[in-house]
Amino acid sequence: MRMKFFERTYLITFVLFLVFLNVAVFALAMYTFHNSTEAAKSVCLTEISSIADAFEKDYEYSGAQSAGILQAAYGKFYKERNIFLKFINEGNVGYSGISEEIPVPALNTLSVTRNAGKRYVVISRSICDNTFTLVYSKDVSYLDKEFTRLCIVFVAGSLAASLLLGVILYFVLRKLYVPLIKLRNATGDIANGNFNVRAEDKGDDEVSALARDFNIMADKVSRQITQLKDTADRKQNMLDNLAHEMRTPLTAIHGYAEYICGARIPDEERVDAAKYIMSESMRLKDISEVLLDSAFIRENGIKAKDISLRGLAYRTCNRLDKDAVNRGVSIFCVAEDVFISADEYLLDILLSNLIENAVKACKGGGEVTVGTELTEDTVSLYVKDTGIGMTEEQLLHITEPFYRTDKSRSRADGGTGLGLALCKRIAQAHGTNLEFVSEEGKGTVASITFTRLYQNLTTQG
Amino acid sequence: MAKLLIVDDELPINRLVCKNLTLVGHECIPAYDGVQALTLIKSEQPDLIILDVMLPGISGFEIMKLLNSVPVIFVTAKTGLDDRIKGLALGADDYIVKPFEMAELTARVQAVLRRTKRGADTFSFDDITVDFSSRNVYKSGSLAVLTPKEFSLLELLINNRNLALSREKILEKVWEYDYCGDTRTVDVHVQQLRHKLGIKDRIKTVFKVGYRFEI
Repeated sequence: MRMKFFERTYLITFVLFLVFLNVAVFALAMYTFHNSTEAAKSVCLTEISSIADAFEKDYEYSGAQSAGILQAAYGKFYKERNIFLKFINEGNVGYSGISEEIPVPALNTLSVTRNAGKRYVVISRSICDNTFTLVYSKDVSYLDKEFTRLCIVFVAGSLAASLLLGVILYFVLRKLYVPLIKLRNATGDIANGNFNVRAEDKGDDEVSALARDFNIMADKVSRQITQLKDTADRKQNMLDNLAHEMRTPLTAIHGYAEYICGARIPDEERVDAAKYIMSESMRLKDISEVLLDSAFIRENGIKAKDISLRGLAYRTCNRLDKDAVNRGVSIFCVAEDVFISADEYLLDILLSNLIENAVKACKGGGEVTVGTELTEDTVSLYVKDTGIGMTEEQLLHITEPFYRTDKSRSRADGGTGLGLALCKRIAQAHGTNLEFVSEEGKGTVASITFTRLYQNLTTQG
Repeated sequence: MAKLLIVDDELPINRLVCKNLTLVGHECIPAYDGVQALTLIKSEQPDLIILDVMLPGISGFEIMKLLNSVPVIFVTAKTGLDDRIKGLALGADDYIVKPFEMAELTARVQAVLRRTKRGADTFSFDDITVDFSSRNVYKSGSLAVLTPKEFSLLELLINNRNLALSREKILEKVWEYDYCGDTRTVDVHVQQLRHKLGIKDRIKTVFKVGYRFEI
């Protein structure tokens, strides 16, 4: 299966070679044979000429009456030299050293005949002023033998050449195919999910180029897979946390309801239990609200309009002031009247969350300052506290859903653990980022930077 | 009956578990984080620890590693298998997943206490003594004849004393799903129990809920 392409190339090359080699060998054999036949023929023609000349001279000298003796003498003489003669005197056969079965060709022509397994060249010629017809015949069977020998040599040669080529071709092709096979193995591995495999891409032929492209592709795929896995992990983690956050209040609600229903307890305890049910269901409500807000931003985006940071900061600070005072924390609002383009409702959620976190970080006693910082074209809204601060490790994770800095997941402070995740989303929806600078034991500054629109100078200070 | 340490950082849940287990006769000590839990394990020597794995400071699993021989039932809110496998591998005796029903928790507490021989083998009230190991009930010193189901019912009611059990819960726990009968079966068996032991005042019918063994 894996070697199909290799086998095909090998077979096609090999068969083509065999066909051409054998055709060439065959043609060569035929040519050689033809040449030696022609050579034999011309030898025969020369011989008959000299025989005819000699005979004509002898005939002239000895006279017509001793023609029969002369013919016999010639016949005998040449028979010993493997040449057979036949004399025909005006239709009657005189001396004949040639079998009757060999047909006599027309005058002055040459024919090649087979008889009794032998090959003869037969030539007839009129001699002595057409008195006789001289038929000359020579056994040329050696040509057949030669042809057979030639064939054997050629066939053996071509066989040897084919064999040699077969072996060499195999190894040469093998070597050419190794990179391809390696590439194929690499693709197979990746197809099976092993994304760390890379193909060998040394060299500068097409296969190496293919391997390089393939490696680039594999890199991209594996990067994307890792990304997808990360995203999936994060989502799963978020889901696990969400399940945990929902289950805890649910356990309390169910448990206290059961308790009220079935336990033998005084009325005061029933009231206590009912209070727990109420506070725990509020927690569920908070979680669902944050999730809804989050989904709302995702679905609808933001409805931006020009808003004053000063107005926003004052409203939010006033609303949260009572809670802060209860915790012994003072909130100072020093925001300037700078206008930005933002969604007021979402920005209010963001600022509330930041201020609430800042107040909680102060752990009773401390200050929270909400203010603005201007540059040429931007304005940063910041919330600064004098609280416990955070470590760098904590800073990295605070915007993750359900992350709590005190690791305790202690919900004594309330809150869903989703606040900063929502803030981050709001900031991103506004095309900006939430930034935190913190020092353990000294406090935290959270800030978000916007493009500045204009400043109302009349209300400044 | 036994001294239990309840470790959970969630105040409402910790109190809920304490209240319920106190009602069924155990002594409960609450702990709200890992450090506190370790201190209390040393000073109080509890018979059983009910341990939430997600704790501030030291996690429940780390506490388990430090324990020796104290039985643990751990509580997890995670739906995945990982936590449960990890907890049991660390030597916990049982686990329970939030949200859980109280009857489930009391049943597991009883089972673990019984298995580790830390629970009381007998329970006495009025003139009745219940021997859980031999599954016999003595009324005024003489053996009362109860069917196995009646005994199981009595055991369940005692283990959840002062807590009401619905008829469905009783069916599930005593007949263990293999019974296709309706809740009337429970009523019949409760009548039998009240009649045989003369404890009509102890097994109360709670309106719209079920039955409660009061003491």
